[in-house]
Amino acid sequence: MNQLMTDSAFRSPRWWASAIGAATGLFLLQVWLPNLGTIWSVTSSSSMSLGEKVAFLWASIGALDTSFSVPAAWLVVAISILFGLNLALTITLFRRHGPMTAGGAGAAGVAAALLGVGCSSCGAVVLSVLVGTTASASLMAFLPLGGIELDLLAVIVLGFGLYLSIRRLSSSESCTIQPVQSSHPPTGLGFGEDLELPDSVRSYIHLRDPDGP
Amino acid sequence: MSRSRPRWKRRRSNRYGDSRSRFRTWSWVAAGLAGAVLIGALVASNLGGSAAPVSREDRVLGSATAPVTVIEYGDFKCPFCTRFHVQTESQLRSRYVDTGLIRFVWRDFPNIDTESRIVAEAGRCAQAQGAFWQFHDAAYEFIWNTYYGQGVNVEGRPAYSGHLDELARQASLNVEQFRSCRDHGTYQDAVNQELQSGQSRGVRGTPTFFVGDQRVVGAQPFEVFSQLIDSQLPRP
Repeated sequence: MNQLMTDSAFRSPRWWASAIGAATGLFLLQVWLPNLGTIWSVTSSSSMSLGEKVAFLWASIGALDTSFSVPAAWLVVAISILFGLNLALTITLFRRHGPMTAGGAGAAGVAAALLGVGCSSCGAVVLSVLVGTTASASLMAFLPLGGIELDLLAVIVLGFGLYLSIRRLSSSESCTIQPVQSSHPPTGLGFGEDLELPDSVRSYIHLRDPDGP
Repeated sequence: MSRSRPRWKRRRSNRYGDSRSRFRTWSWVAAGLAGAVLIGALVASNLGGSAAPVSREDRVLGSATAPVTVIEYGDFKCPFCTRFHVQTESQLRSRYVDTGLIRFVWRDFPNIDTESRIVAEAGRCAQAQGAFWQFHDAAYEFIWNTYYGQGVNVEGRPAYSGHLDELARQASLNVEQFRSCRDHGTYQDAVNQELQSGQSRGVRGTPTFFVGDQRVVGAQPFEVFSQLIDSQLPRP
């Protein structure tokens, strides 16, 4: 973990900016999702001044206090932070190693979180779109925690995605091949062409690949 | 000079087996599904909808000539409708309803449980005696003081059972008439029709408001309502 924390990615302001940006974006999406139409209408309105629009947007964030239960509000914050870290780590891994499984886990966590946006009484916005108002309300009322289960599921999935990403990043940082001094020519096996390998490794390569150098 | 494959492409084909590959594929399918869900929600939330025009059957608070109409689709069992009533509605009444700037309209949207419909019908019976708002306030204050204000969730569980007559007395209703009205299910169809009307106009949960032509979902803070109302009032 110490090795992980000294990774160059974590020292980059851009990495933190992308993590905070993603977390803020998902946070606002979760709070604003039920009223995106109205928010769009207000922000594009010509009858309101810029100050009024900013005041409206700021006031609407207060819905976290009035329109969410206390556990649901904390879960919204937790999901946002986990998503931000997930996305920033996924981008780092993508740049270093290509498409990774952790990205999919993070996306699945976001899907679970969005399914639960809203509350049992306000209606789970996305879920009601998918299965209809009545079925959504019935499902939410049936769940013992009134729909918070979906947010908990999102935290678990996002946490798993974060774990995968950290493990991958950590392993890629610790499993480095140490070059050694040797007079042998390069191996030419498609990787590490510029490395000089110890004799024990070189004899093993000869056994496995007799046509090699 | 030959172009070599990126390092990650060369390495991953050897290091991971088929199961990893399948898992990766499914992960990206999940990512695609998340995107589709998000797009669907965004489209649905922007569909808007509008409330049915105010009619003589509606329960209206405030001046009929008020420049802005605020319509609430609510449920007497809904915890966030209750929170809105306690925290925000009183401010709206004193600042906008009492000053003739808005008229506030109630519509039934009983979607929490079966008791929601029973209380909605009771509200109609109170309306028949000209005391809907007294019953409305008594019902919300009862459920807030007894349950939701104490952190007790009664969604899916009886809360008003055995207390409706008491609420009728608090609202100065004729309790015998009130009980008879409820027992006969006089307003069962009317409540169902209003619920269906709300659904057909894009209401998906409670509380949902129409502030003029803007739909507001959830127990939003007072400032959200005041900004929307102020923007629709005639400018001097």
